[in-house]
Amino acid sequence: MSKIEATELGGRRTTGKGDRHITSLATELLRIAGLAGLFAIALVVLRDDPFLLNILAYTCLFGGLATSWNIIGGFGGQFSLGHGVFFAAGAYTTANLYFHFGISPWLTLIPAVVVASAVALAVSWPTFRLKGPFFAIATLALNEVAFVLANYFDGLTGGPRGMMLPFRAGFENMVFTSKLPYAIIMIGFLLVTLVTAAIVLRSRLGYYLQAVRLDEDAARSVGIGVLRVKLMGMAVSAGLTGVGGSLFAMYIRYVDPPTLLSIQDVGVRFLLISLIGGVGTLYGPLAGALLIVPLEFQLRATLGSALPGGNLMVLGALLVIFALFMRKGLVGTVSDIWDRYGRRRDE
Amino acid sequence: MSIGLAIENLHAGYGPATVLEDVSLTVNAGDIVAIVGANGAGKSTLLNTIAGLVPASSGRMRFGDTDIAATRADALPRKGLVLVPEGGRLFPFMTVRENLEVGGFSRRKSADFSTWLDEVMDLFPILRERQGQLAGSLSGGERQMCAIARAVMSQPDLIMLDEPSVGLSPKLAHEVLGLVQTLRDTKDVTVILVEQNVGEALAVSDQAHVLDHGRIVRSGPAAELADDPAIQKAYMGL
Repeated sequence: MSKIEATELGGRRTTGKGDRHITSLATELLRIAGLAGLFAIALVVLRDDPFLLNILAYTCLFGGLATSWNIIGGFGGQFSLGHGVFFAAGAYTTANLYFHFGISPWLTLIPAVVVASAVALAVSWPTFRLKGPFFAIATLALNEVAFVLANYFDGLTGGPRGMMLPFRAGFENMVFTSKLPYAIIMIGFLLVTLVTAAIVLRSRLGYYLQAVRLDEDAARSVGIGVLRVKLMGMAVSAGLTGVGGSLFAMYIRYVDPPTLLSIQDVGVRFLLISLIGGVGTLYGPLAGALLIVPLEFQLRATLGSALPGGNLMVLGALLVIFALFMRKGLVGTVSDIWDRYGRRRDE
Repeated sequence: MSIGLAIENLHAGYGPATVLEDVSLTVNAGDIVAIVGANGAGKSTLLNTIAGLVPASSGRMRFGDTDIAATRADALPRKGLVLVPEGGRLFPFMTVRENLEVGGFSRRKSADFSTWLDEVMDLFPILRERQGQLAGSLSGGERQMCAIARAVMSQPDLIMLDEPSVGLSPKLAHEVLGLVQTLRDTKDVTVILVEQNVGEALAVSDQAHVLDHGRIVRSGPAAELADDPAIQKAYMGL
């Protein structure tokens, strides 16, 4: 029987050229190990500078949170603005178990994952029936609802007054006198999210999430349970976000609704960092955090008193620039330039 | 062995607009069945209803032991029924190989996945060459090949093709439709082929149904319909 030959199809014969290189999971894990090495060097260099260690800790925390968001928001294309709710769920779980029952915060990470994922599944099950901007708006509303609820249920959250977590220094309480251990913990969190995201990306779930992002109907027609795939991606993403919330709660040792459920400081932040770094890429969210978080600290320090809100104006302008000229974010743009340069060199 | 499809008194549409009215047809295992008709006759709606993407308002659809109306759209490929949507609908930012892999994940026996991928690529040699390229960079013909191959990856018993020749040059259209026959002969699948390219479609099919304004107006062996002067006049421009 006839087989179709390449030339008859009118296509170019470009075997090898223009191929997208797919990195294996093993290579990806090696790269992450390399990153871990770089962070270890940074720790050694900065070990006596609490100001810079604090920035490093926040950068890694938000890098990890944006990486978690990216699993459902980037790979799966579901632009959730409600991740602040899962962040808060993790923070409140840890705060309550530590404050009321004296359970070690390390142990509370497991219930934090469970609670954050459960909350995510409960709110996603109805909202995933909405697509695109409608989904984003619904999740934004979730954040506001959670804010009101957190203020109201003061037995669980301490209400508007919040909960101050007692300072009892010690490894078992995840409370330290120096910033160094916190920076190490946040780096650990970032690495865990990167490894998880790499595994998801190279697994069946990762392929399914990407297929759902690219074309839901086509995904359904090749046998992908679209809602189930979205829910699985959301559960992984929200679970990690919950861990981030727990670590954040123990770092600042204070939880209250405006801190945890602020739209601009938490809810939209994960998405903003991912967009600027490169949404849907493995290292984009980290790149975004490396740019945005230190920049914000710097802007707050220099503009904070002279021009209140000036840091937000700079961030806004940055987002506009990226939306207009670098839509694939830092990582996407750099890898495009790399590809173009590489191809020219081949020819 | 492939499984046959039986549809009885099917009505379907979008909201208040009924598109399909009282459609009944049987597809025998191993046949290539053409569904032809003018623009807006309801051909794509019929396929999408069988694939579960458009809900049926009434009627029965059975595929072997499976009650199609009671099965979720994404479960049908696992039962051996798969649709190649109009235009292929590949995942553009995934490579050709990744597209094929996603197509095969739903497949029932998963032990010899790479052997199967190899077999499918033997059938579509062009895709082996293009496997590392993004699907969005394929030419029209290649894209259609890739969409069909993605569906074949799920090891279907019945494959539904929605206008595989749309937008292709006559030569390419001929190649693609020829491939449909190859597919039936080598992979033992039943094929439902929706086409506006009536002449070519009837040439490769065993049975055919003519759909007009949501109703089946003619059915019979494809060769018989191709010789019918009324059909030639209405659909083949002869």
